[in-house]
Amino acid sequence: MLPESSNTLARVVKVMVRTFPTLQAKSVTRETVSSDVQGWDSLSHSMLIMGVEEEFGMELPLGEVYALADVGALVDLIDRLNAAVP
Amino acid sequence: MEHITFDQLYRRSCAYAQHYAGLGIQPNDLILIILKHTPHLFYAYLGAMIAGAIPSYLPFPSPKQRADLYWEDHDILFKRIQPRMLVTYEENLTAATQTLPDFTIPALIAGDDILEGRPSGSDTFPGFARSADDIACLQHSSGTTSLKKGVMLTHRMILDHVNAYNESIGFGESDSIASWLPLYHDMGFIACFMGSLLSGTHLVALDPFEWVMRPRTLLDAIQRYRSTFCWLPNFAFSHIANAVPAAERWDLSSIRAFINCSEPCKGKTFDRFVERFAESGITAEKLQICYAMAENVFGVTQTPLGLRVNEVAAEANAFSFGEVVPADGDGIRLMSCGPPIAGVEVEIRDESGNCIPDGHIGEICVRGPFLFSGYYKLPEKTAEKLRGGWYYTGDMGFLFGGELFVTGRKDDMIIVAGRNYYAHEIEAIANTIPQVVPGRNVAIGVEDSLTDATAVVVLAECVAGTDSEKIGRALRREVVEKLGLAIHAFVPLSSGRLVKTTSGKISRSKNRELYVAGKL
Repeated sequence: MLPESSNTLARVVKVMVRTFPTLQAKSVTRETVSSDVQGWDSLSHSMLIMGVEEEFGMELPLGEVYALADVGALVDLIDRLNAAVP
Repeated sequence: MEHITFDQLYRRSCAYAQHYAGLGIQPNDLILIILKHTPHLFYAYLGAMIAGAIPSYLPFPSPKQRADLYWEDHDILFKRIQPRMLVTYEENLTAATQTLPDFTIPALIAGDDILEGRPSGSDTFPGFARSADDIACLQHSSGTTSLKKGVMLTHRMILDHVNAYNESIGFGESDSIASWLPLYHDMGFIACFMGSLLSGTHLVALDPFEWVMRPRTLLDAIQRYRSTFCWLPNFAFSHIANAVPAAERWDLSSIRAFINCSEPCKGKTFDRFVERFAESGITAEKLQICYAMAENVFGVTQTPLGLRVNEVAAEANAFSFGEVVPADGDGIRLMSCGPPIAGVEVEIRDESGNCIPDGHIGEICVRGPFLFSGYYKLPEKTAEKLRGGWYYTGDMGFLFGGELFVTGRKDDMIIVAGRNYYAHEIEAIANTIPQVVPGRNVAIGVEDSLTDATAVVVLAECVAGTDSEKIGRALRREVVEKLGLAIHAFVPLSSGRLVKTTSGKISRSKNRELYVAGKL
C-alpha cells in the first residue's frame, strides 16, 4: 500500500467513525463492506459520502459511489481523483 | 436537466407504442418496465397505455442486491402474472437469462434509437379506443417481489381520483410539482406523474438515487422552478434537514405544501423541518399530511391546506388499551391525516368487523368511488382484503373530530423508507444463519433517533460461545442481498431471553417494548 493511500484510508475511517456512532476505528480495513457496519444503509451512505467530500474537498461522481464494493474501493476512488487534479 | 414538452412526451411515447405494436403487443397485454429514472421511464409507460397494453413499473435492481436472487424472486412474480414484454436494458436481460434457464419473456431494450423517426397514424393506436373501465395499469405493492400484489387500476379510477384529490388540495393550472420519488410507488406515480400530466402542469422529476446522495437538489429544484407542491415520506423530511449545510438558505416561498405521506408522520420531524427552513420561507402551515394507498389509487384522506395540521396528545395508559383520551400534560403525540377526500368513506372496525366509535383504535377500512376491484390474478388475496365493498387496509388508527389518525399496523409489516417489508421474511433469513437458534429471533421496526426513520432491528438468541460480530455481519449481508434492506442493528441474546406470548410464540410486540425500554 502506498503511504498516500494509507493516509487516505485513515481520513476515510475518521469520517466513518463520525457517521456510524457504534463503529470502532480499529475494526475498519480496506476490505470492510457496508454489511460489516451497523447502521450503514442508503441514508447513512449519503451522509458518509458527503462527509468524505467535505474532508477531501472534492465531489465524488455519483455513478461510482453507490456501487463501491468496499472501503478500499472508496479510498482508491479518492486517490484516483486526487491524482487527476493537475 | 433535460426539459421535455408535452408534445415531445406524446410523440416519444407514441414511438414506444409503435415499437410495441411492431413486436406484436395486443390490447390488455401486460408490459413490465424496469428502467433507471430517465425520460424513457415515462415514454415506455405512456407508450404502453397508448398501445392499449397494461404497463407496470418494477423497481430497478440495486447494486447491493445479488442479481441472481433479484431475478429468481421476480421469476415467481413473472410466472404468476405472465407478462408479454419486459422493457429494460441489455445488462438486465443478460442477468435474467443467465439466472433463469426458462426465461422466455420478449424484451424491448430501452434507448434513444426507439425514438428515431416520426410515428405515423398515431391516432389509430388501440389505446385510444379503450373504455374508461378497461384496466389502465397495474400498481404493484412495494417490498418483496414474489409477494407483490398488482392493484388493477382502470382509466376511470385514475381520472376520477386525480380530480377528487387535486380538488382536496386546490391543485390548479398555476401549480407545479418537484419530486425525487420513484414511479413504482403510488406517491410518485399518481400524485406526481399522473397528477401533473392530467392537469397539464409541470413536473420536475429528480432521480431517487441522486436525491438520496444529494438531498439539496430537491431544494435547488423548488427554488429554480418555483414549484408549489412536493410529496415526501417522513424520513425524507429528516434526511433533507440533516444533510444540507446548516448555514445555507433557499427561497422556498413558492411552496404551497410539502405533503408527508406513505410513512407515519412524526410531529417532531415537522418541528425540526420548520425550524431548519423557517428562514427559507417554510412555516408549519405549509407542512401537510396525506394517508394514501394504491388500492384507492392514491389519497384516502388529506389535511386541509393553509392550516396547521391537527394533533392529539393521547394519554399513554388508555392508548395501550386502544382508547384515545387527551392527556392532561405530555402524552403520545399523534398527527392527523385529515378528513377523507370527496366521495371516500373511512370506518374503524374491530376484530369482528364491527364499526367502532371515534377515539377507539381499530382497523382502518376504506370505501369509495375509485376503490380497486381486485389484485391481478390473486382472487384469494382480493377476497381477504376486499369484503362487502370495503377495503381492510391492515393499518390501525382512529377517527377524531372527523379526521383520521394512523397508529400502526395490524400485521408484521415494517415500513422502511416508504417500502414495505414483513418481519417474518427477515426472521426466516435469520433462521438460516447457523449460530442463530432456530425460531428464536424477532425482527422489529424502531425509530432511529438520529434520522427519525424506521430502522429494522433483529433480536436473536444465539448459540453460546459464538462470535456475535460475525453473526451480525452474516445476517446483514444475507438480508441486503435477498431483500435489498439494510438491517440497522443486530442484538445477540443468550438462550431463553426472548419473551413468549401466552400461546408460546415469540412475541414481537413485547420484545420490542423491552428493547425500546433498554430492558433486553
